[in-house]
Amino acid sequence: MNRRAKIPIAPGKAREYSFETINSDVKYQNLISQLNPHFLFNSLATLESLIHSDPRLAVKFLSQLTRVYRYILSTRDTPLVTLTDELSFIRDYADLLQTRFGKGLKIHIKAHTNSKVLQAQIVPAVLQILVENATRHNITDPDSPLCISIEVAGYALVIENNLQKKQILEAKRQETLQSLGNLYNYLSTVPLTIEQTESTFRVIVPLLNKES
Amino acid sequence: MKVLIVEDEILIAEQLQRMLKDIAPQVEVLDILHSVKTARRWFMQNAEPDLLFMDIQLSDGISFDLFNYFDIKCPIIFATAYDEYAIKAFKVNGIDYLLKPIDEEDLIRALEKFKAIQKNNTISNELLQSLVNHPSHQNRVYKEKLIVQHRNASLPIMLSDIDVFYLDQVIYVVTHDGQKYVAEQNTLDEIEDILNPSEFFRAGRRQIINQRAIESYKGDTSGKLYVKLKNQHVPEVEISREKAPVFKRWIDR
Repeated sequence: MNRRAKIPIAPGKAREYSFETINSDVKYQNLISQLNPHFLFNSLATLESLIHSDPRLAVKFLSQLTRVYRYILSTRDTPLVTLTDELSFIRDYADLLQTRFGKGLKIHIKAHTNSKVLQAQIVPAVLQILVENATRHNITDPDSPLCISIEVAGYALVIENNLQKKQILEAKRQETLQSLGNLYNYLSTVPLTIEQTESTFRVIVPLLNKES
Repeated sequence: MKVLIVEDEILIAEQLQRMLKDIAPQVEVLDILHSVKTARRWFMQNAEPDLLFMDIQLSDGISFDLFNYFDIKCPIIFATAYDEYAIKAFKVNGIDYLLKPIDEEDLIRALEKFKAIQKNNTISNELLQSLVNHPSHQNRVYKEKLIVQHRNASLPIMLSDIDVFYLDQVIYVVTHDGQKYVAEQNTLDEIEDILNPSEFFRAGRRQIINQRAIESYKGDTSGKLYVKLKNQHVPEVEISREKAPVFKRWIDR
């Protein structure tokens, strides 16, 4: 089953072509959300404020921001990474958002799990896309915080948030989740699933085995 | 010079406040508001500031939404992280905007522009209006009915029939024909959230009045207003000196 996790290199075959189309689509979406100028400039504005108000936190914030961008750049051409790497990345990213949004955002990462699962494979920055998606579309207000949980459940990751949609400026990138879904259809026999109720939004990302 | 900051990220707002203090010590920052909801409440209860700094995407929506509720006349300097579609329009029309992180020289220039505008006192609200009417900011649709309690039963009544809501341990609802009911909500804030602010006015901590129920109003020397309602069952409603200008703007449209 995990033959599919192999990333085809040889060009020419129809299926591989289609994989590359899908993959480049996701990469494109990644690029948009990761190099999201709102994220970058708001982070820089936060950093400026911290330099004045809390230099120690400013240094920490800067390190995290650096690691986030380095991860994004270094995994650009990497089809899959280990869950360990992805989790350590998402912790940095979550911390940056936490510093910015304060009590308006709560992110819980529950992944105290055995090393076998931590060695499982995942598409790089998929968690960031999902977390960014949640903060973009939902109210992050101290009076009604956005709560995002990331949890290992069996051989999958469950990313869940309370649904409290807000009006947003540009409503373009709805296809983000769609292209992620397409990519996982190719990579895994278990699909990436999205479950939405009136009050919650949940994405289940299957974990992949290392290519055998 | 009284300034209001509407910005959802507190650290960024604090930095703006620090910069203002440095370069324009005469500035008094009245408040920092992080959401459309808190900004709405602020404008209901306070007179306009001299100058408004405003981000566009807030923690619970888009700040342009405020223009659906209030006829804001004070100059506004928009501050945003990235070149958004509206920004260009503002640039053309001469209302200033700043990109975050805010450059000190840009801020100084913006304040100078504000002073020049203050002298002429001419702000183009047409542009704001056109932004408000942008399809993505369509006017909200308000509820027509409210469920109230009457003799241990729930009763739907038309909001347009309600003359006044007043708080006296519970929230009473007085209708045009003089009937009095108890609302299901616990606070006037909750009531306020469902009402169309062009029809209803939060007169103070204890009352919300319907525009159509107002017969007349008069002021006294202290600047307070006394509003008389057509409904004989409702005593005069007092409006504080601070809120009086907001009320006058609301009624005179």
